[in-house]
Amino acid sequence: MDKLLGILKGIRPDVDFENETSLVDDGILDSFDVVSIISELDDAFGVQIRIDELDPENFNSAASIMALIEKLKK
Amino acid sequence: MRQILSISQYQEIVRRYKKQGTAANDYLQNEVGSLVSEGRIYCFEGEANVAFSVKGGIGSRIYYYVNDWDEKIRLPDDDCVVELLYRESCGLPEKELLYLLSLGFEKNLIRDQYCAMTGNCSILAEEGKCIVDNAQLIEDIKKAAELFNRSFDNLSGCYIGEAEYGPLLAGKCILIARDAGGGFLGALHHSKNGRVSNLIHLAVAENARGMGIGKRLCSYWISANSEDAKTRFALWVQRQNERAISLYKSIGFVHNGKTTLSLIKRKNENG
Repeated sequence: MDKLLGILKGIRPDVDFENETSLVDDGILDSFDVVSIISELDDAFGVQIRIDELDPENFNSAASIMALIEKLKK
Repeated sequence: MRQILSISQYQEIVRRYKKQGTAANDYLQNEVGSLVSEGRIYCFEGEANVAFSVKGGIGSRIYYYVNDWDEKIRLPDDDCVVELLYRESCGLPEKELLYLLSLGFEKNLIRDQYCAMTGNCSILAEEGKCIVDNAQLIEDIKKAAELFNRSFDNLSGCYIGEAEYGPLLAGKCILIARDAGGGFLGALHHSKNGRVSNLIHLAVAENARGMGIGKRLCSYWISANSEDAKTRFALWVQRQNERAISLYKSIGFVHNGKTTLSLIKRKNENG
């Protein structure tokens, strides 16, 4: 999780990723942020996210992003 | 060129062209549904590359997936604009820029995104010389739209057509600043995405500049849309517009590292 939080903070240092739980629904992350996160996750965790996995639910919190990574790594 | 008729058709095309290492500027995502229903999204498929074209009030906005730098994507026979979004920390994607220039695009504007939270904002209290309120009449919206449309580059920015006047009025998306006698001083256009309020346009009438009207409008916008100290506000501003940047910084906005370079290609140059 620390590695993920480091990546997320690198992309949006102004966001409290430890506590926010509606990052996409609340408009805190926009589509450019999501695309940037996807690209960084590919580099850092070796996971590729398909277009049908671009569900906002998967990006609403650091925990949901982590869950998506874990799912894709299996 | 073919029209995209469903979200699944768009997704199928993206699946076909999006590979590891693909250069892309497709940030449409949630917008695709409305663009499909409005009949505004088209696709130009090549062997390795694909371009989506979104028809706007003026010209077309281009989104692409490029896998082969030697294969030129086809573009609509229309004025076109394309945005290269990047993070300052990562630098401008030079290869994509060169590719777009090779298609005939020319560099236009650099804009930076600035953000603020209510708790960090310094805003002005209301005072009698400048009265700010939501637009009340279609005539107010028309006056504001005309000011915005002549103050900003319409191809790169958000041109406001007459069809939008009604929704903007109903949505209370336009603030108007007036003097004590009701004279028009300026306007602000905003929209809400989730809990973030975005400033789309801010312009002050030519004869009212230098009087703090911009800050009055921003102050009203922030206080009217603040739910708590953590309410977020965002805007894009042209990098060369030092006056506007100075205003936003004085309120508490900071550049969040996101930048966009717009490139345009005019119709008569499409050959």
